[in-house]
Amino acid sequence: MHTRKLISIIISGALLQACSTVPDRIDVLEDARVAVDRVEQDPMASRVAGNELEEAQDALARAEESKDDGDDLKVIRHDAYLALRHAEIVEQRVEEARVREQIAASEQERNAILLRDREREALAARSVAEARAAQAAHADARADHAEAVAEANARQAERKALEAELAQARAADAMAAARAMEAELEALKARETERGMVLTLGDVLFDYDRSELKPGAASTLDRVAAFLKDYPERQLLIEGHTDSDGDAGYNRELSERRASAVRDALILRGVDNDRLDAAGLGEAYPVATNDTVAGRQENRRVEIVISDEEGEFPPAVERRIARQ
Amino acid sequence: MNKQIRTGLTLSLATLLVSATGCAAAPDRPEKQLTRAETSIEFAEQNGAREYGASALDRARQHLETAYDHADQDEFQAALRAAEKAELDAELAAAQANTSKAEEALAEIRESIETLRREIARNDIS
Repeated sequence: MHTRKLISIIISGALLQACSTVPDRIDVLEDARVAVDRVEQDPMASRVAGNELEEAQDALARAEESKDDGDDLKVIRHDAYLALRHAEIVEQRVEEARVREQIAASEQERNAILLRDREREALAARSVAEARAAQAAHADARADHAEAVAEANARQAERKALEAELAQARAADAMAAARAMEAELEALKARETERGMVLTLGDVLFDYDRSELKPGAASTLDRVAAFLKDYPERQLLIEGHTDSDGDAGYNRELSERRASAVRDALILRGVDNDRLDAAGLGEAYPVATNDTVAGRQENRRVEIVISDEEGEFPPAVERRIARQ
Repeated sequence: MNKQIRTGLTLSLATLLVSATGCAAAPDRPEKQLTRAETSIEFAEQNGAREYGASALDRARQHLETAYDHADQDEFQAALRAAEKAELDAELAAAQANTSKAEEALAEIRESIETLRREIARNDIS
């Protein structure tokens, strides 16, 4: 009896000495319970910080058991402290994970904005490029048109210049031709009359009362032949004339023979006989007075009338011939 | 029972009871745990805990000091517990630093988006 009492006293004493009594409410344990409870509710906690959550729960369980067992307060408090800190670490890790999710979402957002903006830029750049291309094409078209107009103008100017040149050349030619003819006619000593150009072959070319042409006539006739070749459209009327000496009929015959001689001489020189008409007009058309020697000599002549460029003679000439 | 046997028995029982309740001192100085606590505190500091997890870091240092004090006095169980607390507080400090850094990064990217939007709006007008 005595021993049992002694043992219980010592045991109680030992217990009392070494360990304190466990109060009903331990602050740190309450905090730990709340904290662990809170993180347990969060679905992300076990996903993101599973091990840490387990540690918190284990520590809390140890603390609760110790309390139930009436263990040393220090021990209960210690495990509760660990449980609390573990729970707080879980909170931190969950919070970090949420922030990182938001960061990822923001990065996506930023990328989307950049992409949209780049697309918009590309579109704008393309429309600018298209506008420039259109402008360039338009400018090209205008340039082409201007070029074409310029070319057309140039060609027209060329053509006009050519035409002017041609006209000038023709004019020059015509003038030259006219001058040439003038020169020839001058050389032939042809005179402008109301009958046209008239060439007079004088008395000296025939012997008295004869109709053979003397050699002196050759060069003149050569020139006439050459003229007729140069101006093939011209026709000739060859008129023989005499002075008033002697018989009119005889004079007419003589003048006719002389005219024919001239005609033949020309034919011999290659002139086509269709172009030559010979007639004797006798003493009917004197050009000078028959009262003087000189006058009579003048009247003794052969006249060559040159037609116009159409081969026509004025009406006066025709009447003259017809009257014979 | 004689007095000696009773004393011995009582003492053994007492010791047994005391040990069972965990109120006895640990047999060895908790070197491993002290080192782990040191390492954790260092790691937390290197990761910005001084800026973002200051209170937890302070606690960690205090606990570690307490641990060394207990260890010097051969209170190895107390030293062990203090060192455990130190390690965990250091871990918490590091976790807080990570969260704060992430929040800063989020703020940065949100600001850059705002700047981007402003730029684009400006270009649209022009």
